[in-house]
Amino acid sequence: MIDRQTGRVDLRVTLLQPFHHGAGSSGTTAMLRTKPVIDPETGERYDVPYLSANSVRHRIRASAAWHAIRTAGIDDGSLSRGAVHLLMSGGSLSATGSSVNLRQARRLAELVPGLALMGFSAGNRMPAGKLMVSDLDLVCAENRWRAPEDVRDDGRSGTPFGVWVDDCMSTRKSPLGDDDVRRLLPAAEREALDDDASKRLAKSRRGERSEGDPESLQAIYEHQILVTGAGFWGDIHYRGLDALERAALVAALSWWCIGEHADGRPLFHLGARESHGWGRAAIEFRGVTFARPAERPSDLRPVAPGARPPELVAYEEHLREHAAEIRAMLQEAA
Amino acid sequence: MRVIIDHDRGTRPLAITATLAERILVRIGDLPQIDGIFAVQRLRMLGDERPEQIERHDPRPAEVGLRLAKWRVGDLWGYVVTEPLPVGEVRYGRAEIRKMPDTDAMAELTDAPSVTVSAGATKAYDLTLPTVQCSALKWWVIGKSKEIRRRYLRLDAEGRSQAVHSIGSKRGLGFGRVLRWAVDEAPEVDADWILARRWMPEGYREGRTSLRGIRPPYWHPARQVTCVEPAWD
Repeated sequence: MIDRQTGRVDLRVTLLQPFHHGAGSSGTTAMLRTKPVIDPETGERYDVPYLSANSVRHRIRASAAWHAIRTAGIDDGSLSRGAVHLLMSGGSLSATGSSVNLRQARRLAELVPGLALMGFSAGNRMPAGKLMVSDLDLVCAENRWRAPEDVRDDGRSGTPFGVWVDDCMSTRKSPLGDDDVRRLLPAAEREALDDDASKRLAKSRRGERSEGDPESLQAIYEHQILVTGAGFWGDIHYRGLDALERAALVAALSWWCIGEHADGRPLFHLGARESHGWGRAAIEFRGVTFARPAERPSDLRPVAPGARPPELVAYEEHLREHAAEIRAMLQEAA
Repeated sequence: MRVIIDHDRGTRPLAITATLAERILVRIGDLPQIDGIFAVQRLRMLGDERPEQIERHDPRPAEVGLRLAKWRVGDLWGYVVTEPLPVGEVRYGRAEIRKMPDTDAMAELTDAPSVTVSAGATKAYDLTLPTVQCSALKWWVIGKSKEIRRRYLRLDAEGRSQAVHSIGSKRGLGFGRVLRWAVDEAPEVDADWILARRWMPEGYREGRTSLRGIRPPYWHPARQVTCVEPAWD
């Protein structure tokens, strides 16, 4: 009988850098994504910033895919667009008809446990995922009524969410202000730029407004952010995972993980602008496996750097052993 | 129209409340039925890992045999459960869900010269779906409290479920998250009161009619008959 596990991993997040998860803009300011929260006692509605489960799930899905691709030794340039879409975004239905290809869906889930974990669409079938990820909700006063017990005890849970929101201004300066860069341009273009600049200077001296040259102006833009030190809570529920699927989840979390905080918590990037260092966060994983008569700790968390637990080794061996079949099956299903 | 109520010894009227932490993603008027939720758990208990994926083409979807009181009208039957009742102020909204093809990965892993993101299999989309926000959903049933707590919902002492932590659609994305469940005795109601508050086969009472499911799986064509609307107070 297959050993399947069902359980939950609670996530407790602390931001170590500013964080932005966007939804639209106002002028030149990219706004934080918010969701309505209604206090059941007062009926007051608040639009509270959060990190969507969709974003977290995509990180897990893409990490699981990259880990599988690199471990199986699938070469760059060797997959079809449909296969990449299937691995990275869950794919799309590509066939119709009343005869559902069960064999293909079953075999694909067996070969690529990361797909079975997250769910996918292939052919005319959409097997559901086994991972239910929650939004990461801000630890703040407006969310306190819906937070778990330990989060309510967190000192930040009495603070209104507005305290954690700030604006961060950035500029993007045109390189054409740099003489060394201008020398790269053809002489005629360089002269035209100089001419424009002279005209703008003359206008400015006469006290007239200049329309400016968009190519040489400094662009200012802003992001609404959550400040360093803000906290999130959330969880990942999983249902009926077999050993390979559990290992695929551990491998995905480990791939996503960027190191270890001084206190031992794994570090991750969350939200946008990770290349600018934003969204760096320390996450504590507290897992339980639902089992009767008592719950037992879950081992679903990123592995420490250099650690090679047997389940992960077995999973990676599975990927390497079936690499050719995985590639062929992905191409066929997509 | 003659209605027969079947129930086991020890069953009682119960009120089941799910206090919600998140918006539920469902079509308006299509909030989750409690016997549907129990049926999925029952199938899981029987070893079915993917109970939501009953095939639409199956002419006779499996009967799950819930231990709830049943109503019978001629050949038709269902469980004695009410429609879901939202508690507190109800707000209708929408959620946007984005799905994007990973063009960076495609550039690296394929040798394709281009990819179309405005149409076809790799279309990028922002899906806008309707949501219902309320502080809780409540159902009334006739059943056994212990059975519901321990077997169908698997509740701990604080009312947290090990089995049903989210309801509605897109549960994998955190929608419909249930903070806690409560199963309370409701001696003030009886089977007639409950049946008045659910869709029943046409002729049961006067009212607007519509094609509706009568028992799980509610969405399955084999379960759908012309029903008369419920009458809430």
